[in-house]
Amino acid sequence: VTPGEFWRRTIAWVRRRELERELTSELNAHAELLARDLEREGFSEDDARVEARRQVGSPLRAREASRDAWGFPALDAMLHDLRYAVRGLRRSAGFTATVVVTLALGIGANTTMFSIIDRLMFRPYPYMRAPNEVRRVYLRTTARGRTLTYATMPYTRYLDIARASRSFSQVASVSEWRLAVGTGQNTRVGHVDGVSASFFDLFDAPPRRRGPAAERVTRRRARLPVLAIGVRRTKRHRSAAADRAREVHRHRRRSRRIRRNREQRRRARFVRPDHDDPRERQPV
Amino acid sequence: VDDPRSQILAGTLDLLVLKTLSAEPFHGYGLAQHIKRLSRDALRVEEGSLYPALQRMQAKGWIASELKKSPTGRTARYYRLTAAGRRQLGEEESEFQRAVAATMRVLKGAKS
Repeated sequence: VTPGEFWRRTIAWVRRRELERELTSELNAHAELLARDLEREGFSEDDARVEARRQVGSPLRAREASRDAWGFPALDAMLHDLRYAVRGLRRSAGFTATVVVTLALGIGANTTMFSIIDRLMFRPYPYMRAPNEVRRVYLRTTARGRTLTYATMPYTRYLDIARASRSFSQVASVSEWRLAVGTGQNTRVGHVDGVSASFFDLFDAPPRRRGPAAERVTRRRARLPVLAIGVRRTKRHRSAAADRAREVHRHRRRSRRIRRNREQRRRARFVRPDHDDPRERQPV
Repeated sequence: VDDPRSQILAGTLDLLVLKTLSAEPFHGYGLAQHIKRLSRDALRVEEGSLYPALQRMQAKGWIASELKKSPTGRTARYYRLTAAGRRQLGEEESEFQRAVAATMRVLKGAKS
């Protein structure tokens, strides 16, 4: 279908009711002219009309045959099937509801799973400069016919790779631990990511200390994305900090109370009550 | 009375319509009568086929139509050939002549 034909068919599809009327009118005119000529050939008026109508045939059939040119037959057939299907579904509402719910759950579950997999496995890391050039390196050993692949490697191996490898333009390491973070009583076990300094060269974002306010300022000033680094503060961590703050507050209040009582007692010792001095008591 | 022998050859309706309209614009009835007259009543275009074919050729852009007054004072839809229709006519004529020549070769071969 050429663009011109597509356009003409679209226009005809929009005007198809009008075109149907025009075609019927055209066929009637055709039958009248044919009847007139048949009358000239010797047919009676009635016979000529009947014969003309017979030769012209059914306007309905001609309209049906012309519809293929008024629009898009495949689309019409699809719409026809769709209407038929909708009528069938409306007749059995329970079945329809079951099918719709089943499809909705199936599609929803698949969409969710795909979204998760897409985020976790298919999409590159945000702000990474050339994700298609960055590779993760695993160490693999084979001993006694058994091959083992390690997700991690010792730091010394990383140093060996960084020093000796010529296959990579740049090498960086990433590691994560659960470590004690903080000092004294504030020490808590937290999730810590450790990266080599070269790690940040892989990204279009400079490293900054973690902190929402600092991050906002940096974004506004530099108009750059920021990699937040620092200790991940968990809910438990924040809750423990709040508990400590409350404890300190209680401790300070208790200290103030003790100091106040002590002060009162000290003052009381320097005040000599007249009526209770044993040296001034008179013998009975 | 319809004579089966007067029915036009399958696949030649477009060619006959385009060739007829290449001379002058016609309305549907005039077109059918013109073909019948030129073929000396040997060919008769069925109205049930003619009008859908005219619609199809309009969609293809080979012919265009407009409402005009006929000599008898009736308002009728007149069909005329377009530039694309003229190109199509050339192709259809060549194709038809090739088919006729091939058929004639077969007939001559069968005779000898």
